[in-house]
Amino acid sequence: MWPCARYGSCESTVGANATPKKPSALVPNQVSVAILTSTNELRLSALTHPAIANETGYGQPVFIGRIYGSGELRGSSQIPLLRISPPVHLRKTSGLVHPVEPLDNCLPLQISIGSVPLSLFIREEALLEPATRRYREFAHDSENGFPIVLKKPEARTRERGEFSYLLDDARLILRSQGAEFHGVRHEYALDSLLRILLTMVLLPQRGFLLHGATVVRDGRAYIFFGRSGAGKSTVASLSPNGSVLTDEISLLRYSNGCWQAHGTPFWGEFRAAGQNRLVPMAGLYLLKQASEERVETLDARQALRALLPCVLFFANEKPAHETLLRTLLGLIEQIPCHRLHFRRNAEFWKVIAA
Amino acid sequence: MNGQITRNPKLAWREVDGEMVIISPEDSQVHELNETASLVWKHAEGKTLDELAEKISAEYEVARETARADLEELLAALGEKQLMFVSPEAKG
Repeated sequence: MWPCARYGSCESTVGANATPKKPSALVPNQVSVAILTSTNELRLSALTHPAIANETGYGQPVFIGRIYGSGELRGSSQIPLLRISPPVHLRKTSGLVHPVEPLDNCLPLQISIGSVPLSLFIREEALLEPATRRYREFAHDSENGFPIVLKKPEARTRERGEFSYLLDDARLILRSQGAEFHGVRHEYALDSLLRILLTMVLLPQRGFLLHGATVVRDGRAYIFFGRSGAGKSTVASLSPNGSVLTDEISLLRYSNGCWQAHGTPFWGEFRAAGQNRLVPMAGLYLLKQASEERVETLDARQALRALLPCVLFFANEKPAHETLLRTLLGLIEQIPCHRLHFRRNAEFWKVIAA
Repeated sequence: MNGQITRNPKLAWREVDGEMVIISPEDSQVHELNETASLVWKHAEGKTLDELAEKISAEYEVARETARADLEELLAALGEKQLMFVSPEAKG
């Protein structure tokens, strides 16, 4: 039977409680992944290329070669998936896409969040000191972290093939092999830009940030998510010391064949806390305050509808949204998603365990 | 009204359990289509209203004129939401 032809639409918004969006210009699958150095050496990194990032990990050069006068490209060919065409296109962009240069005489603060090694180049002592303290649990001994260079505010127009995000006075500029933070004056701005950067770096690697608390129980991670006021910090405060990986922003990522929750330094009320470890996920729980404890299993559409508004998401390009949809549906397929009715006390574990 | 029907090419979308979930990247608005609208979303691309009505009436037990009237209404609603468009120039 021809079903009754009535338009049924239900509208919600991705990342509704994230900061308002500004125009951006990330162009995955195109030359934004390429860096053409002054010696005509071409480096392609997996950062913004979803097709290959899954295979290689972010930032790893997946192609290093040279462009010759004729437009011919010679070099390592580790990436059969990536079509490089036409060479003239790459040459045109050589003036537009620049590598991020680390600061001279500045030792980076090495951290790792969600298994993403980051090298923060911060020259200002007034910012370096609180940043070191805030991310101390996430200190990481890595030579080749994804470089983030903090710079003075800069009047500039956006170049093609890069993602840019303005948050108050601070600006994030994402390049293929690094990022620049301009005009960061305090650790709050640094923290905000770091979250935005992570959403972009994790996206092609089947990872994302979610407004949610992560609690470990019997070696598995339970994610309690919801918008502000849903009860994330309540759930965290009801959990034993040491079992909470974050009370505010969860980092979920598919790696080594399963979905894992990572600890994050992003806690409510800007507390410096967190544990840098990863735990296989047990389930997702959308928090809903109620007069009794009850768990309701959500189907794929309900789960997607529940998750989308709680994802931290800042891109406004179609491919990024397609990747997000694919990632979330992949997650929902493997990890059960529920609505948890709870009374703001620890009784909810009884219905979860049941 | 018998122009070619197209999806808004700017939209990201996925089919979930037979129904469409569509995101408009510019404002991150999420749209969900019901069964009927999802069917049209899947099969209408590149067709004219007449062609689509023909297909619907052949596959479902519905008169061609009824299908056409329903589709017209549906496409108007989808157009209002900037999800699908019917091009102004008639084809054929």
